Formats: sequence, structure tokens, C-alpha cells
Amino acid sequence: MAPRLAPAVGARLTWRLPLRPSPTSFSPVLRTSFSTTSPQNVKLGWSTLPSRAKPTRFNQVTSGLPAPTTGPAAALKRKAQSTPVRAGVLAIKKGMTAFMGLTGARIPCTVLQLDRVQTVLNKTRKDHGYWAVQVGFGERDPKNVGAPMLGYYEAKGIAPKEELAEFRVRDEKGLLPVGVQLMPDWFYIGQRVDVRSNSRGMGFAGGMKRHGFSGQEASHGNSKNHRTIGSAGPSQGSGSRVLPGKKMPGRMGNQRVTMQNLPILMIDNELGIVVVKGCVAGPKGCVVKIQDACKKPPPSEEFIEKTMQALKERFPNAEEHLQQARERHLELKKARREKRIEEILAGGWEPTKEQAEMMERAIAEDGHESLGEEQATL
Amino acid sequence: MIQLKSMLNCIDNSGAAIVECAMVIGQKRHASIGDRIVVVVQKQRDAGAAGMAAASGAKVKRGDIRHAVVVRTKQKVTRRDGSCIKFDDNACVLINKSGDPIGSRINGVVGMELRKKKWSRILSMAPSQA
Amino acid sequence: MNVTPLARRPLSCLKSSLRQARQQKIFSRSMVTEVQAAAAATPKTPSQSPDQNFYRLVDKKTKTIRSAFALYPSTSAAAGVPLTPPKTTNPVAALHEFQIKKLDPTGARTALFARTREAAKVGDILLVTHRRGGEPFAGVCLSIRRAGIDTAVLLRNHIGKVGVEMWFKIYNRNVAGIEIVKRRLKRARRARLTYMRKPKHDMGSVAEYVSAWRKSRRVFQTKGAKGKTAAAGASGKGGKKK
Repeated sequence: MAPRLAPAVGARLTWRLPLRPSPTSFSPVLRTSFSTTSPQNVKLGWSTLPSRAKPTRFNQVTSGLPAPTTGPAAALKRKAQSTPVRAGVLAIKKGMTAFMGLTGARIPCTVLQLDRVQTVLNKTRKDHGYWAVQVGFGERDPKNVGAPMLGYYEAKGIAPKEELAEFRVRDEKGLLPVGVQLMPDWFYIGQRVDVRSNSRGMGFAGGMKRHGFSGQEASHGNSKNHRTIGSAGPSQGSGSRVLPGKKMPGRMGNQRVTMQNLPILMIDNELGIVVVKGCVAGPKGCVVKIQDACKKPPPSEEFIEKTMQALKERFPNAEEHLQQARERHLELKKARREKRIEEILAGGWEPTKEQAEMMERAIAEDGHESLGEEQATL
Repeated sequence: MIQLKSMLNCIDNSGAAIVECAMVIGQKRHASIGDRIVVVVQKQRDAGAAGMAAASGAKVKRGDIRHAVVVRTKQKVTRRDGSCIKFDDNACVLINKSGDPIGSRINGVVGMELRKKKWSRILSMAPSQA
Repeated sequence: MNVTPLARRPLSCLKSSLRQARQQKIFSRSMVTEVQAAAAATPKTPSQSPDQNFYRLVDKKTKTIRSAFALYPSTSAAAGVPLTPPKTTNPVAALHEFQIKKLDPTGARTALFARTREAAKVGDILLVTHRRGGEPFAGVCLSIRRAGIDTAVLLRNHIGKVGVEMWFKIYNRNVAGIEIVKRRLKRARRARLTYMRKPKHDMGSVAEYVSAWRKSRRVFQTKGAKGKTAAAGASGKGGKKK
């Protein structure tokens, strides 16, 4: 720790060098009694830093300094420019086809289908550290959902979803009511979107296929090393080691690929499709994320307003429904904890088809087993 | 897909019969219909009467280095409307440095892509286009 | 009497002796479910709203309900407003249908390349007319790629001793008309006649067939009857040329 100057020295300093113009005329005696540390970075009596606030002992060391350029808040601010204003949707790649234009041009395009795309959760700066909307896609058989997630969906008042994904948004204006369905008209024809998906997995691939290495000679004494990578790096003198990030054989594909600024050619709410120009990574049936292009200006205010209005009209009581679901969830949760869940179910409980089948099967097995035992004993 | 060492037919009456691509001009990729290349004349056309042609008709000789325009390729060329065209051979027409054809006549079909690449002189000389 | 087996395997023996009881248990169990199912019909409405059902986690061994979670089926009204799933899971086909209807309202081209007896097949000589300039292209059909709106045909011909092959998208607006010039005498026994590229099987130029066909059309036209040739799409252009 830097040695503190004695108050007397400080007093002398401030006496001689009025470091910064203070609007209110202090009595120098008072000042010395408060500022006990030497001003930072001041050697010859002046500083490039902006003038600090009144030096009182309650002020922090950082008071008056510019906002920090690192840390979560700074990161969010820095990324705000490249974060879309609105949330996106999840879809499935259904395949490629083409549009035949009026002038005879053929425009290749990809068909993406939305199936019961629903908002599930809003993530906020306060609770989660950033703004985002969690969106679900499709529907999953509850039998394939674990108990924790069943509770999660119960609390949201929605059916279990096939897929969940998050879309970062710029600020709280991008958050959406929970449980509303996003239709293809969330976008408009001609809009530019970014489409993200995982590329087709190629499995373990060699250097030639994976990184485009040129391989080795077919002859000239080459033995069984035609497609192998060559040297992995220089030898003694350069450390005799393989540098980090050396391109080598390994798993290829199945990586997140973003196709930027794809124009939307067609939307259809009935078919639930968004048709984008060009190609999208991944095989047919893969899940893709569609969101406003981050390198283009966001959709107009009117359009955003219109889509939000449509959501409100289609789901007027989304908030109430969510509230009810939450309350009911708490009630049920309590019941589960206190093992009272059967009481709640009482009266209404009848086995579902699968359960009935399962029980019957179990019974049949039991019977068979006992018969076998019987024969054995006889 | 015309690249270094590709052998092409020369279909004009400049006197060359077979030429070899020595360079693709203006791009790093292979040449397609309408692209300009540098060629080396490998075989002269012995237009029927031996000796006569060499004396009168031939404007280029074996070993000459000339510019040329690719007019047919074996590789499929896709058009804007989704249709494709593919010829059974690779062929070119010799031109001089300023872009005018050396020969005065072309025999054989040439690709329509020449129009887009502004080779209308060659197009008008060709008997048919596809 | 029963002493020896009992000593040998006491448990199984017990089981067999208790067989009656077991069966009774099974019987009663099956009865329970049945009775409950029947009874459930009337007092099925608990305190909660009726259409929200539960998903029960059943213990596999004891067959008791371990826990249960409320379900909100997305398509029923339970979830506030029901969600609307897409009309079809195969939107590409729907899109094709929609576009073909727009680009081929008479259905002539679809019929020309349908899998019917009258339709064009590989081995036939076809003539494609462009909308914007250029000679009509005639050639032997080597293959037909059926892919909805992207359906295409591959034609091969010789123009000035050079073989030329062209793919045409049959629904494209640039393709003004497709006509059958000559049918193959026997049905081709391959789906793709790629062997016709070989010199041995190459057909050469089809120009003579086309000119013969033109002549025959002229005969029909002078008679006043519309061309009986299998014409497809806007075949008017071929007629105007005469």
C-alpha cells in the first residue's frame, strides 16, 4: 500500500497547489482535514482525469471516474449494438425447393416450419444478468419428460415442449408475455434474418477432408501415408512442441453455423412456414433458430407494434393464465411434498392407456411365472 | 473447368486446331464459358490440301502464345432460370490482345453465356448458339 | 409326503401352495381398475377445472402413484387459448402444389411428365421453346427428374457435330412450351439413358425428326384441325412459326 502522507504534508500541498478549481470556496483547513490521501496520478500538479466530485470521505475512490469498460454491465452495453431488438423463433428445416420468379429466374430456398412455438420464460438483467426470451418448440410426450421439467412446465401452464432455446434481446422492451404462440407472421416478407443451426455431422474426419490439407505424394517412396497430415510443427529450436490450435484430424461438422442476412421469401401461418432464400446448414429435420439479422437495422417500430398487438389479440389473458398456473403449481408442489397428491387426484384417477397396458402386462407375467413355478414343483 | 494444361479445340479459322491452356486471366478459379485464357497452339489445322493452308490461311503457327475465349465446356454451366448446358468438348476461339477474334469464321455451336460476358462479336460470327 | 421337495426348495413350494391366493390378488387388482374406471365417469370433476388432466409418475414395483404433475395440453383450451399446430407436417409438398397451380394452371405440363401411359418418357424426342429468343432446343430425353416445382428434363442433341445436353426446369416461365416430336418405339428399360452418350448408342442429331414433325404439323394445320400432336403448355409459339 502506498504510504500515506501525513495530514500536515497534505495540508501543505493543498495550500501551495490548488489541484482543481472548486466551485465552492472551501476553507483550506477544512479540506485538509477531509482529504487524507494523495490524489492519484498527480505528480506535477495537474491531471488528465476529469475533475472529481467534492472530496469528502464518503466518496468512493472511483467517484467521478469514467464508467468501467469491463464487467457485466459494460459487456451488455458493448454488445447491445449487435443484439437483436426482438426475440426469434424455433423451427424445423423441412427441405429445399425453389421459387420460379416472374422474369424466369429460379430462386433456391429453404422451407422452415414452426410448430406451436411458444414463449416460456423471460430472462431479465436483474435475475439472470441479461435480457433474453426462452422459446419452446413442438410438443413432447410427458412420458419422455423428467419430473423437474414437468414441474417447470406446470408452473408455466403450458404443455411440455420438444425443444427449448434462448434468444438474447437488447433490453426489456424485447421481452414477451409468457405462453403466447409465435407464428410465422412474426417476420415479414423481405426481412433479413439470421438462421442458426448445427451442420451435418461428418464423424471423425482426416486432415484432408476436415481442413483441406493437400495430403501427401502418391509415389516417390511414400509408404502408406497418402492422406495423413504431414508435420505437426517445427522441431528443436522452436520448442519441439505442437502449438495450441494445430489443425488435426477429429470430429467434423455438427457445429453451430449461422447463415446471416437471409431474406424471407414467404410466410404462411396456416402451413406454419417461413421460407428463406438460399441454404441453411444441417440435415432435413434439424432444429433451426431464426432471429432478426443482427447486421441489419431492426424491423420498423410500426411492425414491431403490429406483431405485439397481434400477440395481445390472440392471447388476451396470457398473464392471468400464467398467474393461475403459478398459484396452482405452488399448491400442487406443497401437496407433493406432503404426499397428499393422491388425495388431489382422488376421484378422477383412471389409468392412462399405457399405464393400463403396463399393469396388464405385469399381471400376465406374474401369472405366467406362477404357472412355471407350479410345473417345476410338480 | 479450364485450367492450366487443359487441351481445347480451337473452332475458328485462325489455323489452330488444338490449343493448351497456359493461364486463366483475371481470376484464380478455373475458366468457364466466356472467360479469357492464354493458350499455346499445339496443333495446326491442315485444312484439306496439305501445304496450301500453311501458306495461305494459317494466321497462327504451332507454338504461338495467344489469348482465347472459352466458348464450350464439358462442365455443366447453370443459368439463372435453373437450366443447365453441357457440351461434349471444350472449345475456344483465339483473339488478339485487344479482344478481337483472329479468325474470320467460327464453325460450331457456342454457349449463350458469351452474351452476358460481352463477347457479341464472337456470338455474331457463330453459326448457332445454345 | 411333501417333505422332500419342501426341504429342497422351500420358497417355490410355498409359492405354489399360495397359488390360489396370488390368483385372487390378481383378480382383485384387475377388478379394482375396472371399478375405478367405471366410477370415475361420474365424479370426474375435482376441484380443478375438468379439462386439465394430470401426468402420473407410477412406481413400477408397487404400482402406486409416486407423484403427479398437472398437464396443460397445448391444443385444448386448457392453456388459455389453444395453440394452432401447422396444417401439415409436409409443407414442401403443399408449397409445390401451390406453385404448380400458379405456374401451370391448365395442368398440361404436370400431365406431360406424369407417370402415365400418355406422358413423355425417357427416349422420346422433345422440343423445348424458350420464351426469350434463341432457337427452340430439341433432343432425346435422357432423364426426367421429378421434384415438384423443380421437375426437370435432360435433353441431348448434336448441333454441328458437337453433342449438347441441356437441363430444363419444366415449370419455369422461360420455358414457353414443351412438345413431343417423336416417341420411342419401345419403352426404355432404364430410368436414365446415360448410355446414349457413348458413341455406340449416340443418336446423333435429331434435326430430321424435328423437320419431319414440322411438316406433319403443317399438314394438320392446313386441314383446319388443331395439331393432334401431344402438345403441352403454350404450344402456340411452334404454330406461329409456320
